[in-house]
Amino acid sequence: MADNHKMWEELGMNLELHDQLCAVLPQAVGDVFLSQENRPEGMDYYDMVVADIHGIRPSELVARQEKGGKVFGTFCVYVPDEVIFAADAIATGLCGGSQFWVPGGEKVLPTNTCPLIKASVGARLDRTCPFFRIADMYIGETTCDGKKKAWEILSEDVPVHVMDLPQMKRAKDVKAWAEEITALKDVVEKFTGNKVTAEKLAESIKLINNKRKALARLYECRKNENVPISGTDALVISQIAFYDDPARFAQMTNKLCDELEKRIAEGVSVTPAGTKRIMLTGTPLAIPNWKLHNIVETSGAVVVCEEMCTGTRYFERYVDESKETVEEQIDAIAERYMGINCACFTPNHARIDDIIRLAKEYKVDGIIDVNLKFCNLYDTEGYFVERALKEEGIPVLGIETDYTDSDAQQLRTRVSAFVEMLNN
Amino acid sequence: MTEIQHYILFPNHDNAMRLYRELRKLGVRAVIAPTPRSASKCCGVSLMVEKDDLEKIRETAAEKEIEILKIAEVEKDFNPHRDRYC
Repeated sequence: MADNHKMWEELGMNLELHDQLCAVLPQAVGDVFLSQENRPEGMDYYDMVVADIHGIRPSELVARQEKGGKVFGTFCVYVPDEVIFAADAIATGLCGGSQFWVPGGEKVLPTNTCPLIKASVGARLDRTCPFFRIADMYIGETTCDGKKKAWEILSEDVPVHVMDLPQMKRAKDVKAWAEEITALKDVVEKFTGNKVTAEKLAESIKLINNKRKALARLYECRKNENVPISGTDALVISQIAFYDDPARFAQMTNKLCDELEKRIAEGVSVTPAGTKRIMLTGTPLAIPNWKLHNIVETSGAVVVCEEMCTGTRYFERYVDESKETVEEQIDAIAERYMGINCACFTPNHARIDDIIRLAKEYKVDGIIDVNLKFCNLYDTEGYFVERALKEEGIPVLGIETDYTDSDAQQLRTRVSAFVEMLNN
Repeated sequence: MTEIQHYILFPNHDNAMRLYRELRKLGVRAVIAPTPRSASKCCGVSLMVEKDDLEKIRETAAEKEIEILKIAEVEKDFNPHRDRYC
């Protein structure tokens, strides 16, 4: 659309290169989403967002900037959006999930860096993603070594503030994270010129909690024996949650959930009775990474849960809304975020407990532990994940993959064999 | 035999969503989709519709003053096993 091109040009994007991404998106969306049958009508909102993913939301962010607002780009579920929104700024996710951006990242990063980091850096340096162009400041964090070095490279091109995430979960670590959140508040206040007051923070805590509650309601629907929505559709909703206006996202997701709950009451399912229920665990699936969900759901199974950053880690548990001072609120935020179980922590037994709990809650028949290539932390933790699941008698398939299409046939063979094994 | 899919193209997503809502009120089936590359080089929202509904759709757009860029005929080619992601 002409308006988009004008905006992209003004953002300094490489239009010729970006056009190559525009060229492949329609077919992928058609294959992965529009080929599905009996989709909920409420998916129309998310279909609209994806159809113009580099147009609609970016234009809203630009409009806010034109009124003096600031946009902060984030890469991780540990960065508390509450603080950013409390300063009348906007937080938007920046994780890259496309192979298209990877070569740009490889120009400055070692090849044996995970594709998520390479794609994120490539999207910025190649100027092929409007979100990366729009963000006034990036908020990084120390969740892995690859990211730590990536922030140094990106900071030569865009302002970056890095939050130092503790790697253990003792009381002093939660306190240290609260101090990091306070430091973020100071940075955000200075950058925006807006004070984060207790009233503003209370509002934004509620705003983000409401988004989490909408996602929790969506996932609750997926626990039902009749599956009212495909895993692929649920995944794209989780992915969009990182970018969308939080209030509108919660409203549209709750509207969808009204429909899903009606489907459940009427016994409507997107899959035939007896379809094997799969949970995915592991590294995040940033938009537009839909490969594994599509493969699983076109191999005779259905994905009912993701124990991932683009899944339960993003929305489980809420920030306590009863605190009255900024200091108390920040402690409550730190408490909630330090309850997320990422493989960057040691020890991380709580993540194994989460996986076993979720397997029971979602009544899964099997688990696929999927990790991005070169993500050493999750790959290593896979040893404990797979051992614990075997002890629990839950079938598990371990997969390492990236954003390329080259392993798709091999993945299909492995996933089909796994599903066949579950069926026998 | 090749199946043809009809797409309504718009100058912006506001027009697309306005028509989509009007069509839903009338019970006319429409699916929100990215504009197929063969129909236009622009990224953006279009509506996938049935051929039999085209006249009704044109009438509705005219009545509600919703701007349509064009109606494109594209070979229907959805293949979830293609494994070409982006």
